[in-house]
Amino acid sequence: MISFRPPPAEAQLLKTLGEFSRDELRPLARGAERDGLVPRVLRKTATMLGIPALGLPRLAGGAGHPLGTLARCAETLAWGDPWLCLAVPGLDPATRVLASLVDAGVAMARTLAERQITDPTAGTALALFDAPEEPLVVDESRGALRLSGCKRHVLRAATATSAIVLGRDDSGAPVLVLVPTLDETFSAEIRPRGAGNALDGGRLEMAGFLPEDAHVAMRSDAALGLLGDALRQQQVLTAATQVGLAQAALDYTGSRAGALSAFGRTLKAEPAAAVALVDAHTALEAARLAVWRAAAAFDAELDGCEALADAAFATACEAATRATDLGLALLGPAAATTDHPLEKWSRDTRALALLGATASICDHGAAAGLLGASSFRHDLLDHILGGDAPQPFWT
Amino acid sequence: MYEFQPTQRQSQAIEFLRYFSESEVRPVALEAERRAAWPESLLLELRRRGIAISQVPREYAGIESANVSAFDDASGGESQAHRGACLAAEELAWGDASVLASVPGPGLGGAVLERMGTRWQLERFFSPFRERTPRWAACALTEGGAADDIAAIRTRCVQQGDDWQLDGVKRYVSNGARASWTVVFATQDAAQGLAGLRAFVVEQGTPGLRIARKEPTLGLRAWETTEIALESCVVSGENLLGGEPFYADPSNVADALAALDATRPMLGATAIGVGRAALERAIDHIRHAFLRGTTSSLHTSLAEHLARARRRLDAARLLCWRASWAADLGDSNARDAAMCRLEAPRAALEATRAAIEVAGAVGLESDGFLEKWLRDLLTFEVVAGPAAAQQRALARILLGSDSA
Repeated sequence: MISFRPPPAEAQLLKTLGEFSRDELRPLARGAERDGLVPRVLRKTATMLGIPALGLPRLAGGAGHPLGTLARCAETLAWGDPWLCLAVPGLDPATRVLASLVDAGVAMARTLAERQITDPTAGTALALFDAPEEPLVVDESRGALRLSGCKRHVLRAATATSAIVLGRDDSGAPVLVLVPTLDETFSAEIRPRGAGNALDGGRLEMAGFLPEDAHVAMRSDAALGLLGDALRQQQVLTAATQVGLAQAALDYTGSRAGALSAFGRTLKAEPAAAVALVDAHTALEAARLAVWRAAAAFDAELDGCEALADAAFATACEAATRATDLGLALLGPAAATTDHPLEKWSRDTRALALLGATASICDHGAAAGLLGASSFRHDLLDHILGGDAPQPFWT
Repeated sequence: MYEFQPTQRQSQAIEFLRYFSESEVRPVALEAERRAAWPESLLLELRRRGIAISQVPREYAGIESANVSAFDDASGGESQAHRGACLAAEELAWGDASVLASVPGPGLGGAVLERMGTRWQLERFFSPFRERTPRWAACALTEGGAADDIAAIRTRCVQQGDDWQLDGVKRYVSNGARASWTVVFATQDAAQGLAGLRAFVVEQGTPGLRIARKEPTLGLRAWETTEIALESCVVSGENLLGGEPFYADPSNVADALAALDATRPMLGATAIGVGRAALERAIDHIRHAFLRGTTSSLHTSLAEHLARARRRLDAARLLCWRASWAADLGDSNARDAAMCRLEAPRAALEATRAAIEVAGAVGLESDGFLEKWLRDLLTFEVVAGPAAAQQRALARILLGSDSA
């Protein structure tokens, strides 16, 4: 049945998160970006509210929410600040992968998940992308795991207490390694970014034997398959983050448009401004429903949910860019200063559009699907590991 | 729970309508446009299956004509009439956008009658629809100058004893020429705005009611829209919808007009159906080129263009679904209805333009469907209300009453 009725317990959850978003995330956003880390008090409050548990299965003590509820949680938290929404563990890519590993029965993943729920200082880095000059090799030949190489674009590189690392073994097959405790084997080099510095990220170099409790969680196609599924689900959550950001931008712009006046009337009384805002709201609403639909498809395990995730992500990114660009255009030069949140949000939305597959890749994949060509997403994951770049489907 | 799958019964009905659209509607669509009329047998078959813009309420429908649309699946414990209408509208519009509006039935006039009429009026004006003879009803709201501004209409009504005299011109009245009766909105005093509005049922053949002309439109030519003139047209006081006490509170009229919001998702879905038809043509065309091995990077670029158009269309469809869901629950769906009515035709136009680009010169040939669908979508705003009206309504809802 077609229905938009919220699940019974969701309303209270979203209300609580909404208050946290408005009263805690939003005021701390600028400072967190400047300092490049999540304030400790924020992590404590988030842990008390159960945010790190949101995306984790009940098996590990998590809330076990379906992806649809997580998407609406991500929207609500992103309204406060999109990067703090991802920096606090719970709705971030590493948690998604962790949750998938727990569901797959990996015992150590369950331990890491339980730790994340209770310890405000715990966090997991997700190291996927090889640095081309030093691809990560996993050596199991001497009875203990040894990693050597470098990963780049690792979120939470400096502050993580554990890691999920994707590498290749001697035969070149992908290997997914869980590292519960990061020690001197790992050294991080943080690379400041144009946006999203609250979720620290950069290069992570690994050289040496891992602690005894580190082990291989999965190999080969199973590893890539699990990662692919988890990253697709995360794509829906990132899309939801874009929706929350866009809503914040439009709310702010609408409110300022009512306060600013020129030539005898408020900005929102100008037909051109009102029409532009209305169109942006409509585009955002359409994107929101596309995200909810993609999430529902994953929850129901329907065929074609990957394509829905791609479409939702691309649509949400467009809506968010439109909303922030409109805000800057309507509110004028003042909005482009750091006195207003819009300049931050306009950077944030562009950076979020690069998290995972970009909107362009999503459309390219959709085009391949239209023509009946095979998807190259699997090749893309392999490429992350240093394999050959995927070929355009028309060659 | 948030769910995005039609019920099994609705899925079966969708399958039937897809077959019906492909085998019955599409083959005669170009001829129907040339004749500006659909074959009666086709319309009667749709009526028999309960596919229409609005249904006669069951308590007035009588045993024989108590069709329950297969799309109105109440198995989940709640009516899904509007959601069902949305699904049906898209499938039929895939065949042709004008066929649903042409199906015999009470139409928009019936929707307004149901909201505003007294029991006596409901019985009197719905009872003719029990007969086997196909009948239509209409709703005359729009005028040449006022367009979508209901409070600014100029058609006058003057009380004369127990009767009322109506004078004015109404435009873009769907099925106005063949309607058994038409709900006409008029004003006692334009300066009073909503407070001065009155609604009357004017029956066919009433002296002073003249069908001025059938409007020649750019597209949707088989969708009958007429201009009707009221020239000293006298109607009985019994035909004043709801009786005079109904108008003591102007918000009653506003609430009744909100009934039209319930039909907007269906109109949006009609546009979606046309856009989907165009996209499928284009995808088919380009896929054949790909399979022949003649694809170039240009084709890829076009395929990406189509992919973007398709996802915009899919998202617009969800707006229609949500607006229809709210209507089924009896909730106000003004915001959602305006959004879907605004976005769906635009998304469909983008899809159709993309399809024409892909098809190249073939896309504009008059014996093909693509150029017809483009004209139909461009005309859509005429018969279904202009986008600017939806934008104004949304601006008031989203930005406050002091917005532009």
